[in-house]
Amino acid sequence: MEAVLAAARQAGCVAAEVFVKDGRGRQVTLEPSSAGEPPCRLVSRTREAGAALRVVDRDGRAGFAWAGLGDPIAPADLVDAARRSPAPGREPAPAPDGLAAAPDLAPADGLAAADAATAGVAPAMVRALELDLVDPDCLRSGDDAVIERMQEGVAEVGRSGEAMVEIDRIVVAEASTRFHFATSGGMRESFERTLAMLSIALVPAAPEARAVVEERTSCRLADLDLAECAREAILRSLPEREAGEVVATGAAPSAETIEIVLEPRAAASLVAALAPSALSGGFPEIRRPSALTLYDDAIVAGRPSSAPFDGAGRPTSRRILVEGGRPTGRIEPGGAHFLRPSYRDLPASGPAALVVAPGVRVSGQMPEGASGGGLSIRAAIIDIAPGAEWTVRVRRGDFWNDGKRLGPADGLFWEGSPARLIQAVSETGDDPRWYQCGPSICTPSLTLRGLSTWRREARAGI
Amino acid sequence: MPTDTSPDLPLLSRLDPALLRRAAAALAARAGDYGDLFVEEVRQAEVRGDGLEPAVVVAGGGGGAAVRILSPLGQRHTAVDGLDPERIASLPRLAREQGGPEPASTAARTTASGPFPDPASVGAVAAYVRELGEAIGAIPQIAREVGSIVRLRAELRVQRVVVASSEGEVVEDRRAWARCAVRVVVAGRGGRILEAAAGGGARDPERLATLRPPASIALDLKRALEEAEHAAPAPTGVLPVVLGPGVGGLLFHEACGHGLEGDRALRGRSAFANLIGEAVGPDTLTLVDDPTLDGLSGSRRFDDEGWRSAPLVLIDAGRIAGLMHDRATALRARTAPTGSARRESYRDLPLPRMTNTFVREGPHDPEEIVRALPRGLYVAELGRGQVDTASADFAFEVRRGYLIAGGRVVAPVAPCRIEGNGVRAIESVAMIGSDLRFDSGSGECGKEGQRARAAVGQPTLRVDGLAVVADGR
Repeated sequence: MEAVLAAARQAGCVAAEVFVKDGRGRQVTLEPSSAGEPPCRLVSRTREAGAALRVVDRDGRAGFAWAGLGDPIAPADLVDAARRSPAPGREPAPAPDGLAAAPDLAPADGLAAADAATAGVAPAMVRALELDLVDPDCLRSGDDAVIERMQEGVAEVGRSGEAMVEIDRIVVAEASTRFHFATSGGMRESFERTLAMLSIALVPAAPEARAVVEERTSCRLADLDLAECAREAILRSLPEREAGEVVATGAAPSAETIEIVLEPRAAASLVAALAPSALSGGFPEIRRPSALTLYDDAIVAGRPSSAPFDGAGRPTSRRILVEGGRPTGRIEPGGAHFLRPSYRDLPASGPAALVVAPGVRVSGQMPEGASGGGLSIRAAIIDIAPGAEWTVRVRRGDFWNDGKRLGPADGLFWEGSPARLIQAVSETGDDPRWYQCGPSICTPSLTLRGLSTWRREARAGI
Repeated sequence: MPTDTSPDLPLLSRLDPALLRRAAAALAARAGDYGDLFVEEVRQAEVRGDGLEPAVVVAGGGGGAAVRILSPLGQRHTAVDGLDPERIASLPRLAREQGGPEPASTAARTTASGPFPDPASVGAVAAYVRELGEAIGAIPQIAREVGSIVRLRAELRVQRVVVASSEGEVVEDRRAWARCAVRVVVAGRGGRILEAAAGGGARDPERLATLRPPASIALDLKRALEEAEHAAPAPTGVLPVVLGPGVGGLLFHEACGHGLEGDRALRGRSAFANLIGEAVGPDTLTLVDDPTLDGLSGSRRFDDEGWRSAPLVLIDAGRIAGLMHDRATALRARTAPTGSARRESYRDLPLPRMTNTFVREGPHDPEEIVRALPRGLYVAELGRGQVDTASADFAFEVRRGYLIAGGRVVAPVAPCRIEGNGVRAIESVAMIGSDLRFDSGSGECGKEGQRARAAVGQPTLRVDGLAVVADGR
């Protein structure tokens, strides 16, 4: 890295940054075949290292080049490739720290900021230790041991799947990666992180069941609960039960006053649906306060979404995106975490992990609305069209009253303006859990009040 | 087939074929096992636009190798980066060790050259994007709308692969493709959001500039924005749908092709798996996957398991002819591979998947197909889609559509969706035109996290009984 930085200096670059990613991984896939066939096992091991160089030349133009490190490469070649790439015809503009840079380019912003921020950064290794990102047992267990653990998921689907869903495939992946970062501004940092990922894909074995994929991540394989992941997948996949009887007989709590509790997995579906507007700044304005507070948090201990510095070398942090239902920030170039999935990718701003602030509602407490009774939703399909409306459809939920389950509420749905949905979040639980729904999401249960009247007939297209 | 005009040298001129053959042979230690060695080198240049200017140019490259041992019970795959012959030779041993490959040292190593695309190619891609930006900037709707969003992206990817199998074959293939994609979003009258997308692809940047000049892309975008501005509400309900030449191939790729991939069929994820040999459509309907066609994005001389490419008929005169198989699915299905193995890189396991998939020409005059309809929807461009291969249910955005009334295409309609079922859609193919056309060459197919270039083609074709649903926007 020093040689590359020196070569960049010699070539006349006024700023340079080297990013190296060096990792090993294993992915084990189990595909229970159709009847009569033995299950299929796929074991894939990979080892990959690569480097990326970003430079700013004397004219303020940014360049980027990457190369795999499996073969020797001369530092000057990497510098030449990056210097060849600056876009022609772009007018340079001064960056805040005095370096010439193209400030409207997110990567160049990050590059300038990395240089500027170097002085105050605590050593990344220390921060990485505090963040507890490494599982010393990563990649140490044998393939058979991993497959044995995967059987926990197979068994759970057999137990709870009601013969209406089948396993398409279960995937367990582990990776151990070391990240190195060096800039012409003097930053020299590195850290190590391990990743464990679980994915369970279910397919229908009965009419009306749905194909679903449920995923979890952690820094430690031991943290992944195969049975829990399988149970949540099953709840999302099973056919809806008939809610008509409870509603038709009038036994269901009043639709206007009902208290609705989105259990953590259903709440994660809500957060995933809200994420695009929360991240882009298009979060709806609300008229009365909400209990929803949402962070983009890159410093949660033990999470593979955490890191001591981001993909542009800047110290990571927790940023409030939504506080009391009101937007307070957004993900934008220069103002958020830079993600870098691979050394082949330019840094791009995005969320590390979306975390809903937990509250005090006790986990497992049955919903009780103002007129008595409530609705507990364990699985839901939640769709929010930007600037339009949202729909919440219950895949698996139950009416409750006086601590007693009245019957299923599957298939009911609500629709309205996103602002009304956010305003309805009146309480958060003390039971936060991590899910992987696109981004990493950590959320407790959410209590909704004053939502609107539910409907029973599904609209076309829901 | 792509011709070798760039300075990158064949891998087999740098790697000893005998060494590769020995390494591959060592993989099949037990009777019945199969093994192969896959070596890959990639050189890539990408230009991303920021507004109307080329703003970021990315140049990169690298290589690696992987071995795979295949048995009826599954696969073991071990991949390492780099093209060091000693390291490649050690792969069979590494594949049998539980611990997997050790990291290579990344300490200071030097060489005379890097694995980067040649500067002339990078410059050609950047020049293309710059010219494209200028052409798009002249589109009236974009020139007058300060808040217009323009996303430009163009890339050149040159991939060389060598496959050595435990059966003694050693083959090399070179795949090069340059492509571009543009998406524009502008505010129309009354604050309505208007979107348009266009793109193109060819073997190299020079051919791309010839086959798909920036001015032609700008013209397509301009026309699409004008039509979107004046679009009437889409007709809704169950209607006859005419899929224009080229574009509807996407529907067949997604709603039928993926269901005919062997891995999905073996996992019970295909509505077509139990229909092999059965007549499901008119005898004028034939669906083919053909990687040998000249100048298409999915073309290749060999698949990623070293099988020589050949056309594969998927639906023959209305009858489901068979599935696409790689070696793994063929072994489990006790049949022969079909040369359909594709892998995004040496880091990935092969999957059976499509290359250039198209519906063959039919007997009808394209104009006659429209003339025969009192009312319907003409689809000129499809957008994103969702398909459940297990049921074959699908839904696709119609990016550009037109109302058919009285046997004529009369007016553009607002964005809508078409929904249906792949099996029933094939049954409901009513007329097939004689004007086969392929897509512009910018398309990619995603499967299980692996991207692959793929082309689709189709003549004008009428499908009855699809549901047309108005877009909520």
